[in-house]
Amino acid sequence: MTLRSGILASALSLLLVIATASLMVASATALPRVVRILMVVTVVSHGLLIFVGSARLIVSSSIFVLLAVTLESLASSDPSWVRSIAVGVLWYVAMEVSWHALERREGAIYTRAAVAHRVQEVALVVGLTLVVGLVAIAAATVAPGRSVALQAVVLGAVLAVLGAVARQLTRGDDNKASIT
Amino acid sequence: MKRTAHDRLIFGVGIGVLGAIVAVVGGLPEVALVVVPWIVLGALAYGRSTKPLVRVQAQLADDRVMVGDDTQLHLHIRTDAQVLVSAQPKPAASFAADGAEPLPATVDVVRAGSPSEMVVDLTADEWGTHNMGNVVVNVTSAFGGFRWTGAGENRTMLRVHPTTQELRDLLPPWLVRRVSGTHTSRSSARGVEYADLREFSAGDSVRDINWRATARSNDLWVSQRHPDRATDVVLLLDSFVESGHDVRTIFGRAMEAALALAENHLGATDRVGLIEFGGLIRWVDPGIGRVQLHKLTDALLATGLYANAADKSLPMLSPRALPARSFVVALSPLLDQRFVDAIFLARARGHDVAVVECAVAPTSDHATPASALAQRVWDAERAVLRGQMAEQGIAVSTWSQDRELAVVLHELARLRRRVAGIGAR
Repeated sequence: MTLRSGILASALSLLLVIATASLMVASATALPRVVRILMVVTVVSHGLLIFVGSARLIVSSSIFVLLAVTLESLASSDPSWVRSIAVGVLWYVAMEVSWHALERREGAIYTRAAVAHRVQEVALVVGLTLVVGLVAIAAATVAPGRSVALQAVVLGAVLAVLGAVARQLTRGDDNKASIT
Repeated sequence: MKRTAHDRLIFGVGIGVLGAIVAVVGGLPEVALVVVPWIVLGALAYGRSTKPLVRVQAQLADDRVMVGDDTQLHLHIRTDAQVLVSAQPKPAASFAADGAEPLPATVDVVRAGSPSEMVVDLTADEWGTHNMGNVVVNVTSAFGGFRWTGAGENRTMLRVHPTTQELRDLLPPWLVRRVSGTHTSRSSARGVEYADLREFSAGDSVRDINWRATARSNDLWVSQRHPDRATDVVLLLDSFVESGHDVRTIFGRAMEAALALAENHLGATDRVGLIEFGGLIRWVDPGIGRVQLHKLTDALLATGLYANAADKSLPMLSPRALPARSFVVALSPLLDQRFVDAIFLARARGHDVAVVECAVAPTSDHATPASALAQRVWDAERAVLRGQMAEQGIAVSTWSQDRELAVVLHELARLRRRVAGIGAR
């Protein structure tokens, strides 16, 4: 039962990856051939990695998605922010389903409450992403999308967050929980 | 518990930062929008990485089952925050059969102030006493950012009884006690089994007069009968570990025979005791009733098989543990010389001794002449040992895998009658 659930979840994650790739290919406004090749590589690599069952390596297929978006944005003169948000959300959900599938295939039995809890968390992230996307689209009407000042502010914020997170992750086992 | 960052947090932070840098440096806000979900996830997971306090308590639905029975392990989990808890029972290695898959982990949401109960279905494949209380727990924080891993250790024992065989007949002892029981004594007194005729003497009951014999003669004749007496049965169990053989299977068969004999003789109001002679020397004083059967079963299930090279002999046990005139039934593969010597010693001390040899399975199919010759030499050595025991009045019956225990005991009773002349001395 657990293995069957894991296989079904693996199939669902692959479907989501294919959907993401299809969206990218269908809506590419520049470098369509390059985008198509990168998406094929993404689908194949993700399919192979989920078949093998590597939870660590499965994230590597995200590099091709990011590369495709970057190259197309560089070549395109009329980028679509809505499409970027949709690709980002689809890809995030595909990865979450992939991790869940791999945990199921390792033998973990999820209760309905546990599945519902995870679905709620993913839905919350998707919801907040859409809100951020709407705010960004609204802000773009006020300021130019690629101004130097905006770049400086965002870069500073990103570096500050990176530093704080790195400190937290490398703090080690200070954050101990106890089990009795 | 050890805390680790989940892959999704590490990946989320990494790809979020990479995307943000590419977006800022290249002036490509579309790239930033693609990685927004990961930045949001990182922020949510990082902001809610609380330190959970988790309590896990393991409880078994049954503390005694038979081999092959199903039971359940209940895991009661309490936390002080809402977290995702994965609990995987790790029973003792002796619980599962060889090659069995480990028990799966169960994942559930546990909320603060609302304990959760996980039920794990178990099948008892191996007999013995197993500790089922060890549990590996993984606690995942909100949004799956961090994970704490630890192990809870509870002492929750499950006793798995081997399947016992029903025996119809008792092993007849040579020596009995003066207490009423089921075995026919050799002496004459009040009883059911006809023994002999003798002339009427003062004090004999009129009911004992044998009227047929009296009618044929001019004197009164009375029937003598064998009284029914009980006996003390002491099961001498071999727990020496001999390498090169499947010790657990052989010992399992010896234990199966011990339990069957104990149940049978206790049902016939005999007193049954146990002496485990091997790596450790332990005993259970002879007693009667169902309580004694439980004591014997617990002692057998708690038996540990230890390799031991010490020069040991059967010690002088107290009369409570090894009563005089008791019927000693030895259950052993007769591989360890120390146990063989213990059998001879018990006989020399005047006990009535019988042996059920739990035969070792052949190690090869004798495809080569050398292995066939080795098997013949082995069989000859066993035959010599049995002959030596028979000379001392000790009957030996071999229990191989293709024979039923009842058949083996019936053969043992027959062999005992053959060596009875020596045994009665």
